[in-house]
Amino acid sequence: MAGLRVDQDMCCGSGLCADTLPDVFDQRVDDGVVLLLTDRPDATLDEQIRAVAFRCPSRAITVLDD
Amino acid sequence: MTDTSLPELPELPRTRTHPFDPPPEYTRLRADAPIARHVWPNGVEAWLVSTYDEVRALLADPRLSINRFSSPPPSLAAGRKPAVLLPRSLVAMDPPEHTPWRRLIVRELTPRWARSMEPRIREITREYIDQIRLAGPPTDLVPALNLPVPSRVICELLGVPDADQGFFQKQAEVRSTVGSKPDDVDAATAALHDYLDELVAEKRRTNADDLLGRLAVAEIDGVRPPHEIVVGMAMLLLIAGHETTSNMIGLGTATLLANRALIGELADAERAAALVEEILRIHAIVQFGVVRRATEDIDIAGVRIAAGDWVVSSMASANRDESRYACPHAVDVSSAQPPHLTFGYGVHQCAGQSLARVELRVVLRELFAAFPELRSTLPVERLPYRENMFVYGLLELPVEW
Repeated sequence: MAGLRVDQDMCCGSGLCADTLPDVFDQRVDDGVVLLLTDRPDATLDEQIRAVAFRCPSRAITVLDD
Repeated sequence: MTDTSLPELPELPRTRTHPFDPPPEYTRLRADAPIARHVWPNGVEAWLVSTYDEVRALLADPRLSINRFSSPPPSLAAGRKPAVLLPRSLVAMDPPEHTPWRRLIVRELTPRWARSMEPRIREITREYIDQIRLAGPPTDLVPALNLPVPSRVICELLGVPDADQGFFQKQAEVRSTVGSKPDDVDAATAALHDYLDELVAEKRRTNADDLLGRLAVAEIDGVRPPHEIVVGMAMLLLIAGHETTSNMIGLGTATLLANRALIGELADAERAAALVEEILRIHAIVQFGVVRRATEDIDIAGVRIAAGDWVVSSMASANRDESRYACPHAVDVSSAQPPHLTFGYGVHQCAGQSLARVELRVVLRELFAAFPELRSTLPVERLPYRENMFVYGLLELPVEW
């Protein structure tokens, strides 16, 4: 992937991303909204990140391809 | 397309041929008519959505509203309508009103928090298992384990003091028991509402450091939310977190009793988690789906859903979609499966899903660790099920060991 983006306005705070990939995503304590820890995650996580983006209930995670 | 004079509009499929499977008509609907007009038992017409991709797309579509209160929605209309109505909560709000409220709730129920609850849930579970062992076989697991464990967890989450938990659990049980008389259900709902009304007021007074305390003093755009909505949120957490989890525990247990080879999966924590996902997929207990209303025209899968139309998404059917799952009708722990839709999808996806997962995993592991020889006194096909209830599950689960 070329990059990764999250939309905090769309996020509904399920935390599924942070639970699956805690090195890439976190949740803000105040409101559970997603925090992106890195927009250039390790290439070995590619498949897992795509799976998490698909699973996100509010479609707040976008995987950027070239 | 929405001509109401058509006489042959099919009825909502409701008759199961096996207690673990949705009605067989859904197989044909998925193949031939993924979004099709049906008529509900109360005479209201709606689109029934049966395929995985379409259920996901529509549940995430902001043109569908969760507000079902402007006119009677499609429903089973079985029995008397409850006279005691619940205050507004998340399940009656669309974004943008929904968004800040949702955030006040989900920040309390994160997956990380749910994991941290695991030791306490195990402790509670073992308490009830010890009582079951002491009483000896046979036992009905529904009142002995499946109902009280989630009930206790919710009590502790809401900060119900120990001294009130007996009263609280009793009322919750009346509400969740199918055989309860309508008057008793109304009385229990009113009693719980009055109790939570008082409890929220007290949490606010004492600035309590728990979920209800924080909710009671929270601000949305600088404004303290109305007391009645905070009470509504407490009722929602109680009701949604209680009946669903206890029924899923029962169906999960029955699934393992019917297919004992799966019991071994519980030994390893990671495989147990995968098994729980499959149990959740096979048993989408909100069995008649979720109701939304279109606020604009929506063109999807070759049909036009018109503004004002009702749309009912069947998670139970979507979870069996042959185009998504290699073994749609069996628990398949051989490889990772596409995410099921049992908790719904979109911004209204179950806020308590992480807690439910932990409860289900802990209770099943503890139960089968304590009673490896556990068996049902009846074949699972002959157990009594909640066939016409909003939340599917077992009425009784008599077991021996």
